[in-house]
Amino acid sequence: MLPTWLVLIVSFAYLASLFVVAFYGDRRADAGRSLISGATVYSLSLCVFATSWTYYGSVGGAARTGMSFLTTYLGPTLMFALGLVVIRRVIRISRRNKITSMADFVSARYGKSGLLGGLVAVIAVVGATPYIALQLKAVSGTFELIQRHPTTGPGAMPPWEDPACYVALLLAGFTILFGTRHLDATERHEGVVAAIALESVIKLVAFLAVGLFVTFGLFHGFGDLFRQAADAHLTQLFSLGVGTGDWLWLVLLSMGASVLLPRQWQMAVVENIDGRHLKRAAWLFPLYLLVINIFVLPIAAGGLLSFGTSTNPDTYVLALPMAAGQSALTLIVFIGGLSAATGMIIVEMVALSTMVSNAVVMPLLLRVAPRMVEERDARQLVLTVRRVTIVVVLLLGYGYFRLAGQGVALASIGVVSFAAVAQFAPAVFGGLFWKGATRRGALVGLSAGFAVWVYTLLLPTFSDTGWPPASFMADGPFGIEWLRPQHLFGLNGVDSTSHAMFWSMLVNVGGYVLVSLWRPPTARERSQARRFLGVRRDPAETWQWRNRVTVGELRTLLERFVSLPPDDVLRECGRQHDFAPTAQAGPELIRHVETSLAASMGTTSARILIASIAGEEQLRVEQVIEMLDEASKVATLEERHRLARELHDSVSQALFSMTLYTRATELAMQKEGGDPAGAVARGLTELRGLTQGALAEMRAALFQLRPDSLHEDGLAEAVRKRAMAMSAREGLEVTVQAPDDRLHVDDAAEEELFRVVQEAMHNSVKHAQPTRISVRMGEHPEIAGALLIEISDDGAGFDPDAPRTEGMGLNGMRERMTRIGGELVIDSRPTGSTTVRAVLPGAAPRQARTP
Amino acid sequence: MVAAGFVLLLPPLLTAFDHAGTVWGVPAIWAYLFAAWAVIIGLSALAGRGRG
Repeated sequence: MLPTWLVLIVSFAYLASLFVVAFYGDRRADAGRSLISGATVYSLSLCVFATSWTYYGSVGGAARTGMSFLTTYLGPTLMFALGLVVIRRVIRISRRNKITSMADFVSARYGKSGLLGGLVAVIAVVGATPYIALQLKAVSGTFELIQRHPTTGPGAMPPWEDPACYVALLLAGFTILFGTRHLDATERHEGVVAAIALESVIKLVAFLAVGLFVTFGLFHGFGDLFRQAADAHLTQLFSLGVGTGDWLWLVLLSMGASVLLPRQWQMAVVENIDGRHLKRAAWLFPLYLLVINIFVLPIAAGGLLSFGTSTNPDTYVLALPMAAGQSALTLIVFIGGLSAATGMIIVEMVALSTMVSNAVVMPLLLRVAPRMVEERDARQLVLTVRRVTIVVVLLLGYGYFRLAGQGVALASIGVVSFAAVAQFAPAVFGGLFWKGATRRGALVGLSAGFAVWVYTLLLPTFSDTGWPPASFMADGPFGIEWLRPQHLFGLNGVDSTSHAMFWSMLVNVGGYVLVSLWRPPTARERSQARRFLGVRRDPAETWQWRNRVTVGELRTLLERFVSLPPDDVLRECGRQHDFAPTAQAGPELIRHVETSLAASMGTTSARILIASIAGEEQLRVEQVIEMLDEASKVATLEERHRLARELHDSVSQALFSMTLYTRATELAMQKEGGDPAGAVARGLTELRGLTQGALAEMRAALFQLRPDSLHEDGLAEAVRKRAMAMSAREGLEVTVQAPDDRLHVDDAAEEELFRVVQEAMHNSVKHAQPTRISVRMGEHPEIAGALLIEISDDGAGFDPDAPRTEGMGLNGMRERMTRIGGELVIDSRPTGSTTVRAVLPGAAPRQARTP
Repeated sequence: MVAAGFVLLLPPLLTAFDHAGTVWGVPAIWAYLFAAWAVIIGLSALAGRGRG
């Protein structure tokens, strides 16, 4: 059988080859010839999602509870195939604001809250610890299996004999070497990405090899394998394995995890070099997961048939080829498993060390001991912090594995981590869509959700260690039964994951929403929210700083904290600025420098640094006025709506009844034989005309009061109402020819078109004294798909080029049309009638566009 | 497509295949899940191409 030394040598050779690939990747990146510029490499790097949990744990899960292992991979499929819009948006926002970790993302969204960023980093570290432990456990367990073969059975090794300990140290070395090589302005690590993409290929090939071997080597294909399983009454293989509610929670959990896990965020968002790569990843990443999972159930069936339950099902993947005496395959499988574990640990470490240094340690140092930062090379300090973080977090993971992870199934440890990162979902995704979400809301939701997670999921994993005592789990703390960690408030009948998710999400989302609603966002939160919501470009700078800042001062900051040449960074902001050291720096330049600092130091530290020279930020005066304006505008609008509603309900209704009654009286008088030419009859007719006119006028006025009725009615209907009112008021004939179909335009364009028509009709009445005006709307006869609106009158014309036309608002109309991408043509002669034509390409009524 | 994904991969449609025995010699639930999964991946690949 395989000698231990051979396994060790091959493992080291494998890890060494990773070093080489990473080194080569970095060299290529430095030379500007990126190794990872393809969409396929990006997709493969995302496959860091498949770890030892997938590689060994899935088979274990399938052997115990059937198909439920698949939930972990269906979630990412749904997320990447269907939630792509969200991911794309996160990438775009991160790139624009040079955000390099999830902690910074959340902190930046909620008014650059340092507290929030720190909390995210802490939760990420605590949440990732069991997951790292899982990888170490898998490496240690499989190595032990090979070493002890053919004897099996449990046995605890001291740490110095435990390969997991050495793997952990070696990986710490790798990550320190390639993950913290230098302080990059983008926090991209091309060498690491290249190595991870390679690892994804290796683990896939190795897993498929063992799958094929079991299915077609040990058995005669799928049919034979499953027939034997059915005969052996292994019914769990043919079932979902969990209740429907649990299935749903597990899918949701993995959906969130596929983006929110620190390593997924790192790969999907931070290391993304081209947003378009996402399109291929949307199907390639799920496809990879599908392929790697095809043989999970067959291997589980094969393992159960070969070993029964005497062997830990988490080791079937390795135990099957080993028992069959396939040394080479066993070695390949072991290396595949090693690559699954190392890939996860490396990327997780890079992501976590960035978060901890940028969101926790550096802000603390800058606040508590600014001297310490002052006296050292700040960039070196950041790197040191990251290196220490890497070692500490790996040791934490190892500690957790030794302490709590010994007897537990791999998959159940992983789910604990999934549930931890799920706590980020409300703050991250909510922040992308809900403008009213606040820093306090996010803080309360996150910390409450995290607390429940610790109590209901993390704590119980320690129960085998004797603390918390068994009575704590069974009877609750101090014997209070409704506080039992796995049956909070007496909730029974669901598994521990669903239980924990239900309560943690309840307090998380509940806290987030309620607290956000309770206090409206502050001005700073709102201005940050605007950078995250919808807009494709950054809003104009609305803040200013208290102190006068010179370009020289900004340069000094950049010199000390950013590894790029400071002049290059300054020039990125645009050449229109004055870069002389004594020149005063404008708010745009200060903001630009802050963003650049944030890229290497994190959002919070950047803000502290800028504040140290520029003082606190404050809102610009114009901004305050604008906000007041906005508020009063809202109030006015509400008042107008109320007025319109009341006028409609009272006066409008009364006028309508009056026209009906007048008509009824007329008819009644004719019936009774009254004189149709008499004074009464003439009076009635006159009265009916007047009432109808008043009603039309009223309706037009109501329409003016409620601008959004334009969008309710559509342009054609709105123009008709306008025309009716005008003809009633001015006593001239106004005809409207328009199709009933809605136009192919957005609300804003519809509004502009309406104003143009209104203005043209108004001009005509005011300057031309016409007897009739006609408005025609429809597809342009010469330009396919274009909308043509013609407003013509039979009044006195004018010379469109004459200076007199200035007062006619023609320029305003032209501007309106240009703004929405159309044009205005005026055809008028001083001796004849006038026709105004508004042309808008691509806006013809839908009906007219299809033949 | 979003709806299709959720309907196909989540209960209650899924439970119809739970313990449903075998189809062509393989477990029905296994065959169904992978088939539905492949369909969704195929659809999203097509959608991506259409957009591009």
